[in-house]
Amino acid sequence: MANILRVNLTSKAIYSEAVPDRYSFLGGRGLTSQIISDEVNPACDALGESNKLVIAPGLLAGTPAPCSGRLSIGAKSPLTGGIKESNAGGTVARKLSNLGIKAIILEGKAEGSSWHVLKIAEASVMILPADDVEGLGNYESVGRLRAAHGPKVGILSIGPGGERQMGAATIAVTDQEGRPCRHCGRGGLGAVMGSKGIKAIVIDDRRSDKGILDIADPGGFKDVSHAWAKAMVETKKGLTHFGTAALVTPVNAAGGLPTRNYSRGDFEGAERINGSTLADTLRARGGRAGHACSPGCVIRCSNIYHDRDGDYLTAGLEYETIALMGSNLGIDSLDIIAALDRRCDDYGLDTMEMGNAIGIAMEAGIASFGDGAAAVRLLDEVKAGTGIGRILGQGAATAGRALGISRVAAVKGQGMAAYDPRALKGTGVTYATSPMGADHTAGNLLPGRAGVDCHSPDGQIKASRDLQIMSTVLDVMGLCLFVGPLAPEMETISRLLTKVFGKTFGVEDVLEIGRAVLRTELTFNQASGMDSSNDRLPEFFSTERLPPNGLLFDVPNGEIDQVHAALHAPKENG
Amino acid sequence: MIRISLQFPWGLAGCGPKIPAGETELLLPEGTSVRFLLDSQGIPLKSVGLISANGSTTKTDYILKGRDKIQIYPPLEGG
Repeated sequence: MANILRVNLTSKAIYSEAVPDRYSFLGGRGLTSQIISDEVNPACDALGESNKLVIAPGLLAGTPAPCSGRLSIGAKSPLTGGIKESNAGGTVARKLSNLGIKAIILEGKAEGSSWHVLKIAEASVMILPADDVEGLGNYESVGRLRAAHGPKVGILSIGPGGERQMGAATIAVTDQEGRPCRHCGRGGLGAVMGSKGIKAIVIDDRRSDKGILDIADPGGFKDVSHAWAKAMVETKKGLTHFGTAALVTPVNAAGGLPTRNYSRGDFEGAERINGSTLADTLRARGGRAGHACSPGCVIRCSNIYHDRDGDYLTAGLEYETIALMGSNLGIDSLDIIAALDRRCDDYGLDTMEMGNAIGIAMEAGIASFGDGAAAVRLLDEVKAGTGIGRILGQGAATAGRALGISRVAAVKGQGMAAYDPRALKGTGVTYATSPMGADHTAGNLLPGRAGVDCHSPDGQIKASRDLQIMSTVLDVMGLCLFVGPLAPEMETISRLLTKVFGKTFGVEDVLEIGRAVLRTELTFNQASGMDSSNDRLPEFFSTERLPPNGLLFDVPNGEIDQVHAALHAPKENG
Repeated sequence: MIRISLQFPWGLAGCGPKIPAGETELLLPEGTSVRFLLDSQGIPLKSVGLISANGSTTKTDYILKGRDKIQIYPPLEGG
C-alpha cells in the first residue's frame, strides 16, 4: 500500500501517512498542486516556514507505461509568487514508486544555518548532517553522496544557487548515469529546498518493488503500453537522432528564435548550433545521441556531450538551453553553450532563467552579445554570490529592474522559453495564462501542432486552452511531454486508465483530470493576490515589431481573459 | 524548368506517405507552387507542420524559384 512521507524540518519529526482517498488517483502535478492548495497559505512567504515542498512521482510511475518516469516537485514559487510545479526525468520517480512513496512533503524549516541530507530507504528515513557536501556544486556533492550511500541511489540536490535561495535555483535529479543533469528547473524550487535547510535527498530503493498504483487489469495495461511504446519508437525518430536541438532550424525559419535578448527572431549563427551540427559534434567526439534520461523512456531525446578532447562535459544539452544561452546571447558555439550548461547543472541554476537574465545583462552593457567568455564569467559570479551575481541569480525580472532594462521577457516574474510569442502566438497565450507563469511546457503551440497558423492571432485561445488541459494531464500521469499532449494521446491514456480502474474511463474523464488541476492552481493564484493583470505579456511584445517578419503579439487581452473562463466540468453545462 | 532541393529534415510519418529524413533534387515546371509540389508528392497538408523556403517559413501559395531549398517538417515536437 502506498504512503505519503511527511518530514518536518523544524521538529525533525518524520511520519508515514496513509494516502487519503481524495489523493488516490492523483499523481505528479495533480498531487503536488492539490497538497499545496490544501496545506499552504497562498499568502505565505515562499521562503518561510509555512511553505511546503511536495515531491511526487507521476500516477503511472513504475508501471510499464512508456516514458512514465517524470518526477513533479511543487510549492509556492519564490519567483512567481503563485503555485508552481516543475518536473524532470531522471531516476527518482521510479525509485519512489519502488519504495511505495506517493509523495514526500517537506515542511517547516531547519534551525539556524545548518544543512541536512534526507536519506530515504526501505527500512528507514533519516535526517543526516550535510557537513561534507555543504557549499559544493551538484557534481561533487552527488559524487560524494553516491560514494557514501551506493552508486545505485537516486539523488535530488541543490547547488550554490539553492543554498543562496536564488529565484533561478533548481533541484537537480540524477540521471541513469548518476549525474545531476536533469532539473526541476523552473520557478526557484531549489530556493525553497534551500530555505528548509535540505541540501540533498538520497533515495535508496534496493530490495523494494512496492509500486504506488493498483492496476485492475495488469495484462491489459501492459498490452496497451507495449503497443504505444512500439509506435513511438517509429514516430519519434527525429527526437531520438537529433534531440530537441532539432527545433533550432524550424523555429529560426518561423522567425521565433530569441536572438540577442528577444530583439530578433532569427539568428545568423543558427546553423552552427542546430540539431545537425550537434549530432555531428556528438558523433565526432565520442559523445552520444539517443540517450534516455529515465528508465522506460523509448524516445531517448537526451544526449551526452564531450569536449574537444573527447572528455565528458555535460549531458542533456537541449533546445531551450541552446537557444536561450546561444542565440539569445548572440553565441554561436556549441562548446560555449555546453560549458554554460555544465555550470548551470553544477551550480543548480535554471538555464532558461539564466539565459534570459544574462541576455538582459548584455543589453545593459555588463557584457557584450556574443562574448561567450563573459557569459561564463557571469555564471561564475552567480555561484560566487558577487553583487551582479546575486542580481542575475534572482532571474530575468529582477535583473531587468536592477539594470534598468525594460525588454524583459517574463510573465508572473518567470523568464520566457525560447519561442518568441510574436511569432508563436499560441505559445504566447500560454505564457500569459498558465498558472505557472511563462512556461512553454504548460502548452507549447509549436507550428503544426493544433492546425492554427502560429503567426496569426486567430484560433490561439482555444488552441492554448486545449493544449494546457492536455499538457496538465501528462504532468499528472508523470508522462514525458514528448509523448505528445494531443487528442490521440488522451485516447491512449483513457485506454490505460480503463485497465487501471477495471471500468471505462473515457477521454472526457481524462480531460477533466487536467481541468480540475488547473482550477485548483488558478484558485490558489487568485488567493495569493494575482488577477487578470498578471495574465499579460510585457508591453514591448505588442509594440516592437520582431524582425525578420515584422510581427507583433496581437491576441487581444479580452480574448486572453477567456482562456480559462470555460474551465468547468461538461455536466455543469447541462 | 527549374531545379529545387526538397528536404525532409525530420522525415514525414503522419497521415500521408512515410518519408525518411533526407534530401532530393527535383526538376519542376516554372510557376510551380508549394501546394502543387506537395500534391505531386502525395503529401496531404495535414501531415505538414512547417514549410520553409531558403530558411524562412512560407505558405503553400509560394511560387518556387530555381535553386530554392524547400524544407518540409511534420507538426513540430519537442520543447
